Amino acid sequence: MAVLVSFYRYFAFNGPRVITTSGIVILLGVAAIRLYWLAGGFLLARYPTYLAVYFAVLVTAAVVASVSMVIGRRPGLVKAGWMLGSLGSVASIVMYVVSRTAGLPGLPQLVDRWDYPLGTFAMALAALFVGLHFSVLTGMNVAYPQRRYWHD
Amino acid sequence: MGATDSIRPEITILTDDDKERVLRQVRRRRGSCQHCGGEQFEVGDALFLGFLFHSEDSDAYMVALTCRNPACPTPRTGIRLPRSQLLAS
Amino acid sequence: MTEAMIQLGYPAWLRIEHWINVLFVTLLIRSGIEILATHPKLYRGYDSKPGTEWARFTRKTMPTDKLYDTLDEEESYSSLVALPGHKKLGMGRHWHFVTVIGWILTGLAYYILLFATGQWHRYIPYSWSIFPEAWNDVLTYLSFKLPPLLPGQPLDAIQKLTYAGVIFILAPFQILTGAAQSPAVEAHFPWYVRLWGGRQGVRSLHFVGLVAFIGFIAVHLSMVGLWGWPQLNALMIFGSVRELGWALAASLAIIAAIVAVHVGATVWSLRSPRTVQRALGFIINRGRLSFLRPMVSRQHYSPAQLSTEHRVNGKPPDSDDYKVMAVHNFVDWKLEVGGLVDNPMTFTLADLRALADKQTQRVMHNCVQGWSSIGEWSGVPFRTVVDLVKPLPQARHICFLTMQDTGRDEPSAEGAGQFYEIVDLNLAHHPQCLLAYEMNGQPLPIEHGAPLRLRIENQVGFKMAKWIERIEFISDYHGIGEGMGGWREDNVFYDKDVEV
Repeated sequence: MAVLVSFYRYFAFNGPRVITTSGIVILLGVAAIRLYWLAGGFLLARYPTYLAVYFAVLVTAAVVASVSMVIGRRPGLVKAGWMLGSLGSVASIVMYVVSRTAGLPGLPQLVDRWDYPLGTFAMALAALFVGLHFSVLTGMNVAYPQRRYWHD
Repeated sequence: MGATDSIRPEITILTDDDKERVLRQVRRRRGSCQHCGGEQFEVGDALFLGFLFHSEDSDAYMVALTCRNPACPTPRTGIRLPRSQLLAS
Repeated sequence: MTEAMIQLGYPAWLRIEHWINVLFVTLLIRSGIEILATHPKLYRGYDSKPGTEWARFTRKTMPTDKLYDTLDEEESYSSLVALPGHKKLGMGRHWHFVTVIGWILTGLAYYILLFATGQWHRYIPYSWSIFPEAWNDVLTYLSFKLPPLLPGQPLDAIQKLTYAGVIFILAPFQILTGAAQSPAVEAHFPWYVRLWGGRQGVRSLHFVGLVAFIGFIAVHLSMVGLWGWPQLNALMIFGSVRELGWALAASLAIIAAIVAVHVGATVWSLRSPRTVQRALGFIINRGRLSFLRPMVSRQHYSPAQLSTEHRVNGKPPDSDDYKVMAVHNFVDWKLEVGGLVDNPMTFTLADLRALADKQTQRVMHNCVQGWSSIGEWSGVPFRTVVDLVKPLPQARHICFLTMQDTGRDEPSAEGAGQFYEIVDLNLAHHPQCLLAYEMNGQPLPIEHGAPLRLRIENQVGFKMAKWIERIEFISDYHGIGEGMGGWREDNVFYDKDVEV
């Protein structure tokens, strides 16, 4: 484990705008998929109200997080934006996995329905965002408006 | 003409006061020319050593000294001084 | 599944090439990482200005109050990821270049056989419908299912496109971006460097190619696992799905042999680098001198392209004699030119300035470690000095002796002794071979070799001796130092001729 951590700490990148742009694109992708589902492009003809509310909350959180990540002048606000994005991403993964395993209330037909490419893709996007955030938190990457001070 | 025209990028030009300070240090150390024994020198420019040379103290300078003895076979030499003894603070 | 795969088949040459490629690609990756370790920073454009890198693979930080050079920045990586690891750039370069030769020859044979036997159908699509089919395959994989194979072929659509991409795009891409990093290629074809976005741009692209290959290997192995390792393994051993146990044993034996080559190469390099240098250098130099020696430098970068901070390698002579000379503007410095010449001469700096009209060239400096900078150098063309001293017929090489004592002056270099470098006499007549006494319009700075350094633009930077005090024309260099043609060659096991 220590060897892996040591190996990880050898990597450092200097692309704050690229990182923040990537993060926003991913989050908006996650939001867009939920909007698509909310608008009826969903597996089912009808879905329970709580799910619609959950989708709306997720979309809102993604948009708020994205805005905060890019215009937040105070570091605290930017960090909060990333954290909100990660929370939303984790929640989306958990909800998707639960819907396919234990099952969600009123949606038993989703259990074992792993054969849904858009769902898999949405999970991958969410995992990618969490990974990106992790890389920023651990110093491998910097996010706008942070900068690298590699003087030498 | 030649190399002596252009000032090297690393050189610090010394003022008359700086040069006087250098000569005082030479006298204090009883410095003499290693080739002819002369004790009269003309002071030239200074070279900051502290950054370029890893063995030097971070504030070390080499100051150009030229032996005034016209018969000296190798008149050009130098003296190593810290910044505090060379430049006005 | 078995019936579909037999139609296109797995001919013996294809299977043999596959395992040869496993060896070569893994050798290239490990030796490439060794090369990266020597300057583990990646930049854009032409320049390596400190602080502008987009990626770093080091935890070292450099001092701000003392001159540091790129030898200080060099990283030491484990032998698990680098060949051979532990700051052995000379060894890494030899393994990388000799493997490149083998890989290119293997690749050429593969292309010829693919097209001569009709096997190219396994990679080049029959029709444009491959793209929508590949998209469907992606969706199928995302559904945690396996897509159908293409009719009569041992692949699905997305696999076919991926293999075509690796074989016909990624592999040539790595070779072309590698070639773009040769000083001789860059010096003779500056437009080629511009094409790739600059010297550092192409170096970064080469790194991206490395990552792409590692990614391909990871996905390839996962796919083989998903689709059925025993059967697919048998196909790559016997060409048909049979004797699965024997196929597994054979593949393990092949992999063990490949690992043994890696271990052997690593141990040999660490224990006996001189023999590696001689053996591999002999092979590499055939290719180098044939293809790259004729490439004469013809670089003319614009003043706007000059690096604002030209990097430095090697520390200046840390002696009182040198410092006294420097503070007197090198009035007492003398250059002795002798050896196997009719007319040995001694020059002061003023003499050199008066010898000929100052020649100025704006060129790219390529350090062996991988960084580059563009500088403007002015001085006397070396052929002017050669013509004056008149080398004797038996003179074949030129030895440049410097005022640097590596043990005293360069703590980051392994080894000691007077720094010297030897170049072939035929390089002295290149138009951009210069004895430079000015840089960027000013007297040559101390860290760049004051009062005089060599410029020989189709070679890697370490050949361009700095702080020169003596030039000797010689017939044979094997009796000088360790006999390998220079201090770096003696101690770091580089080759003497470094057009790449």
